[in-house]
Amino acid sequence: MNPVSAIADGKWLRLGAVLFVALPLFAASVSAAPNDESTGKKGIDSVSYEEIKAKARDIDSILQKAWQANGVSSNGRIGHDTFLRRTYLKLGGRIPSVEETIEFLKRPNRAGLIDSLLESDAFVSAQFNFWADLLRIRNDQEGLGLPYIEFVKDSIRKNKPYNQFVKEMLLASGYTWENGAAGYYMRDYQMPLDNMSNTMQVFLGTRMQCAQCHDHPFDKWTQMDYYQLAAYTYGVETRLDANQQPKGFADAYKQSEGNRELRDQIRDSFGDMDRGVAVNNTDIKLPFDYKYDDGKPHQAVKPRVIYGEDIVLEKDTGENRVKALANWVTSDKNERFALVYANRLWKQAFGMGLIEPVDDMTDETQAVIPELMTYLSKMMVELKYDTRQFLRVLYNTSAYQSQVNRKDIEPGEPYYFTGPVLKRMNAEQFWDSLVTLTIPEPDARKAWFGGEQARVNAFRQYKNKSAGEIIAAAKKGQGMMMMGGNGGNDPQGNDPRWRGYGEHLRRASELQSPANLGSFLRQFGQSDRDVIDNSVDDPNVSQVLEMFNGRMFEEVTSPDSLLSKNMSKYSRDRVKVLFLSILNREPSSEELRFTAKILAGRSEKSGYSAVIWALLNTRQFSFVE
Amino acid sequence: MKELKKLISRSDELTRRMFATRAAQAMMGVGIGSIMTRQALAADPRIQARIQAAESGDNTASTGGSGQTAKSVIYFYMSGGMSHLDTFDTKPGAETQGATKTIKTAADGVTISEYFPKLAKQMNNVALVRSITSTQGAHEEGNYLMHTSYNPRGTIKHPCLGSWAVKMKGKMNEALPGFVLVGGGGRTVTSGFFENKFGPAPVGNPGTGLRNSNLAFSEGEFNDRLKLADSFDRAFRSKYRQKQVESYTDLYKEAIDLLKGEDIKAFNIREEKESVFQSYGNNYIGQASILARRLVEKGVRFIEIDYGGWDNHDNIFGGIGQRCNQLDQAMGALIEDLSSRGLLSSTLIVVGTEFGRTPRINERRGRDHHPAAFSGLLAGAGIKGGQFYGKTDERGDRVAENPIKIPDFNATIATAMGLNINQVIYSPSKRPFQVANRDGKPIQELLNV
Repeated sequence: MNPVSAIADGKWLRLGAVLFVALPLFAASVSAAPNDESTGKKGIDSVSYEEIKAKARDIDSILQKAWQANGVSSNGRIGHDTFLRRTYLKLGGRIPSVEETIEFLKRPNRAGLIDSLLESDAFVSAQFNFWADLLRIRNDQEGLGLPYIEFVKDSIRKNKPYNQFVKEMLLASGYTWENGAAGYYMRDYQMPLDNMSNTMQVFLGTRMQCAQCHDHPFDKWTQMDYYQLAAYTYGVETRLDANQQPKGFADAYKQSEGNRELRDQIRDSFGDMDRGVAVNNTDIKLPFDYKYDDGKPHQAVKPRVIYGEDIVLEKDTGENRVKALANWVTSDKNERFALVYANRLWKQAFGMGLIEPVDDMTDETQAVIPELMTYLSKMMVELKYDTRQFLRVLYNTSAYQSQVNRKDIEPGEPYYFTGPVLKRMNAEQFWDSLVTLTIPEPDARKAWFGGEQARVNAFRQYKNKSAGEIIAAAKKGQGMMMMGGNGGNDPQGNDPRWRGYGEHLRRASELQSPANLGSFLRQFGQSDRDVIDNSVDDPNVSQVLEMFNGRMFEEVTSPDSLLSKNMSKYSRDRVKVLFLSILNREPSSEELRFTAKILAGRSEKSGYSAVIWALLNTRQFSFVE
Repeated sequence: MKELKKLISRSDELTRRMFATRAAQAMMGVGIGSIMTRQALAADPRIQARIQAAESGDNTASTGGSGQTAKSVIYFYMSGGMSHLDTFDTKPGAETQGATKTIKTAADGVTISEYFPKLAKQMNNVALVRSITSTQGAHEEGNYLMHTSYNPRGTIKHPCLGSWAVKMKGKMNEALPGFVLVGGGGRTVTSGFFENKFGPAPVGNPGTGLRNSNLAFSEGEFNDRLKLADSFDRAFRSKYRQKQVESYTDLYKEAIDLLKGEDIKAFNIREEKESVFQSYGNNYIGQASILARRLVEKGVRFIEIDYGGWDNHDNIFGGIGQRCNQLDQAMGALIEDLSSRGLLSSTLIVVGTEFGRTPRINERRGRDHHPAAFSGLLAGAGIKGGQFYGKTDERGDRVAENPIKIPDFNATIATAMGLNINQVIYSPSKRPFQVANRDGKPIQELLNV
C-alpha cells in the first residue's frame, strides 16, 4: 500500500502505530554534507560504533561512581520522542520536520540518528552558530566577513580536526578573500593586544585582559606576562601599507606621489586593499605608564609563554614567533587546550560545563567531577580532536539519554549530570525551528550576500592588475562601482523548493551575522558578536509579544507555509500533524479533547490558527527538554 | 585577598550566568509585581508628584546649584557627523563658511546658522558647546566613544549613556521601558556589559510605535487561545518547577497586562491632534519628538532619537538646510511644548554627534570628517541657557578656547541628570568603569544644578 494514499485515505488514525511502519518514503531527509575527497574527509564510521560505545560506557561508569559518592541517581531514561526533539535541537539546531519525526518514531534508532545528524548540513549550521558567537564573526567586519564565515562553515563541514582549525586561524595571513582564516586577525583590526586576550579566552579558557593595563587582580598574571605573551603576535599587521599590498597597487601609489587627487581616487576605489594580514618583525614595547620593577616604560619585550616549557626560537622573526605561539596553544602538552574544547562540547550536549564558567580558569579551578574532566580531555587527544567523534561519544551515553533536571540548579550548588540541564532554546534554535515549520528543506537553503560577493569578486579581479589598469579604473571610479554592485545571481534564486518564500526565511546561520537589532533573533538573545560568548536566554516581554503578534507567527500560519501544506496533505489528521510538527510528539487523548472543543463552532481557519498559536505559545515548545 | 577573589568570582558567575538569565525582566522592563504600580500610575493624575517623591530619595551627587536635575533626557543623536560650521558654530565671512548664513538669537551674543530660526527664539533655554575635540575620525569608533565615553575594545562592550542613566537612577514608571531608542542606533546603543534590561527598547518607526504591541485579534479570542495553551502546557509546567519556566509564565501575564493596559498608549502618537503634527512637523524627526514628549510625560528616563543623514561628503549645501530645518522645527516645538507643560525644568535635551566636518570644502562641494573640533547642544533641566561655551579658531578648524573632550561632554550630561560621575561600576569581568570614563569633567559654567 502506498503510504501517502494511506494518509490521504484517513487510515492514519485508524491504523495507529501500524502507520509508522508503512511510511518508507520518509527516508531521513537530513541530507548528508557532500563528501570532500580532496581533504580525505572520513565518514562517521571511520571509528567503529563499538569503540564509541565503549567510551560512552566509560563516561557513564565515571558518572555512576560520582552519583554514588554524592548520593544521587540518574534522572531516568527518556522516551524516543524526547530523544528525537532534544537531539535534533542540539546537534541540528532545529526541531525535526513532521516527516523526520514520523520516520524516527516509526523505527527509532538512536545511534543511527546521532550519526546521520552529525553528518548533516543541519549540524554545520548549528556548529556555525556556536563558533560565530565565540569568534564574534560579523559580516561587516574589516576586510570582509563573508570569506571568514565560509572558512568556518567549510571547516565544520569537512570535520577539520579542532587543533588544525585553530592553527589555521592563528597562522593565517593574506586577505580574507584569499584565505578566509585571516578573518581571525581581521576581526580585531588594529587591536593586536585585544586579539591576544581573545585567543587566550576562546582557546585556553584563560582571562588575561586585566593584565593588559596592570597586574591581574584576581589571577596570577602580571602585566609583564601579558606583554611577553602578546609579543608573539604583535608583528601581525591588519592594515597593510602601500608596499605590502599587491605589486600593482604598490606601483600605483608610487606613481601617484605628489598627485593628491589621483591618490584620493585610488584610495576611494581600492582603499580596502589595505585590509589584510601580514607579519612583520615589530617588537612590542611596555606602555608609557608601566609601573613595575621588572621593566621600564617603552622598553621592548621579548616573547615568552606564560606557562609550560620555555620556547627557544631558532631564528627570532615575526613569522617564527607566530608559529611558536600557534604550536604552543594547540599542543597536546598544553593541558588547557583540549580541556577547554572538551568542556565546551560537554556543555553543548549537557547544557552546562563540568567547569563553569567555561572560559575563566585559574590554577584553583576544579571540575565538578574531576575524573570525568580528565577522561574527556584525554579522549579529545585520543580522538585527534575529531569534533564529530567526540560528540558521538557524548550523545551515546545513557547520561545524555536521560531526563533533564526537574528542579533548579541553585547557584553554587554542584550538579552531577544525572541528565542534561533543561534550557530554553537559544535564539537560533528558536528561529530555525520556526523556519522548519515554514519552508521545506531548511538546511539546504544557503546564504546569499550579493553585495559582499561582488566585493570579493572585485578584489580578486583587481589583485593582479597592473598599476596602469588600476589607475585607469580608479579615475573612472570603477573599483567603487564594482564593489557597490551585486555579485551575480543567487544560485538558489530560482530554486522551485523555495519559490514564493521570503528571502529572510533561512536558517540563522545563513542570514547576516549578527541579525539586526530589534529582529526576532536579537530579541531572543542572539549574540551581538561583539563580545565572546555573548548570547543570552534571558526571558523578556518583547519575546512574548513576538510570539503573540509577531511576523513569524503569520509566516507559520500562512497558507503557503510548509505546516499549512502538510495539514492539507494529511487533511484527516490535522491535529496530529500539528502536534507532530510543533512538539514532535503525539497528542494525548486529553489534548485531543481540548483541541476538539476549540475547533467546534469555529471556522476551520480560525480554529487551526488558534491551535497553532497555542502550541507555539507553550513552554514545551520553547524549552529543550 | 583570596576571600575577596572567591567572592567576586562567585558573584560574577552568579550574576552573569545565572541571575541574569533568570531575571524576569528585560529591555521592555516590565518587572514582576509591577502591575499594580503601573495601573495606579496610569490612572493617577498626580503621576508627576509621585515621580518627584520617588526622586527625592535619590542619593546622587549634586554640585549645589539652584536648579533641579533632569529626570528625563531626550538625546538627539546626529549620526554621520554633523557639520559644526553649518549649524551651531558658524563663521560669517570666513572663506570656509560656504553658503550657510548666520542669524542672531534671543540670547545676546549667541548666533546660530540660518537653518535654526525656531531654536534661535528658544536660545535662552539653550546652551551651545563649540569646543568638543576628539581623535576618532571614523564613524563607528566616534559614535561608540560619544555614546559610551570609552574607545571600542575587543574584550569588553561598554554601556551607552541611556543604559548608565537607567542603571544608576532606575526607572520612574515600572510599566514602561526606562530607555527607548527611536530610529536606527545600531551596535553602539546597547546596555554593554550591563544586563539586557538596561538596554534600549527599540522603536524603529515613531509613526507605528512599539513592535508587536497591537493585538491582532479580539480579547475574547485572545483568552481562548491562552486557555488552550495553558491546558497543553499544564503537565510540563508542573513537572519542571524552575525559575526560567515560571518567569515565562509571569511574563505572559505581564505582556497581557501591558497590551490591555493604558500606558502602552504613550507609544501611539496617532492620539495627538493634527495641530501637534503641524507644529512639530509631520516627518520622522517631528514624529520622533512627539513620541519623546509623550514618553517623558509617562516617566520614561531616557529617550534617544537617532537622526542620520549628516555624512555630507558631497554637495553639503544641497541638503543640509532642509535637514536642519526639520530638526529645528521639531526641537523648537518640543522645547515650547515641554515648557508649557511644566516639563522643561525636569527634562534635559541634548544634541550630539560623532565629529564635525572639515572647514575645507572638498572638490565635490562636501565636507569630510573632522573630529578635531565640533559642536553639541544642551538645553532644559540642569543647564544654564542663553550662552555658548568654548570657541574654535576663525576658520572653524581647531579649538581656540576651552577645549573639552567627549567624556567631559558626557560628564556634563550625567551631572545635569544628578548621576554621580565618580561612582565605579564593575563589569562581570571585574573591570571598573564610570559613566564618563575616569577623567570626564563636567563643564561647570553650563550647569545649573
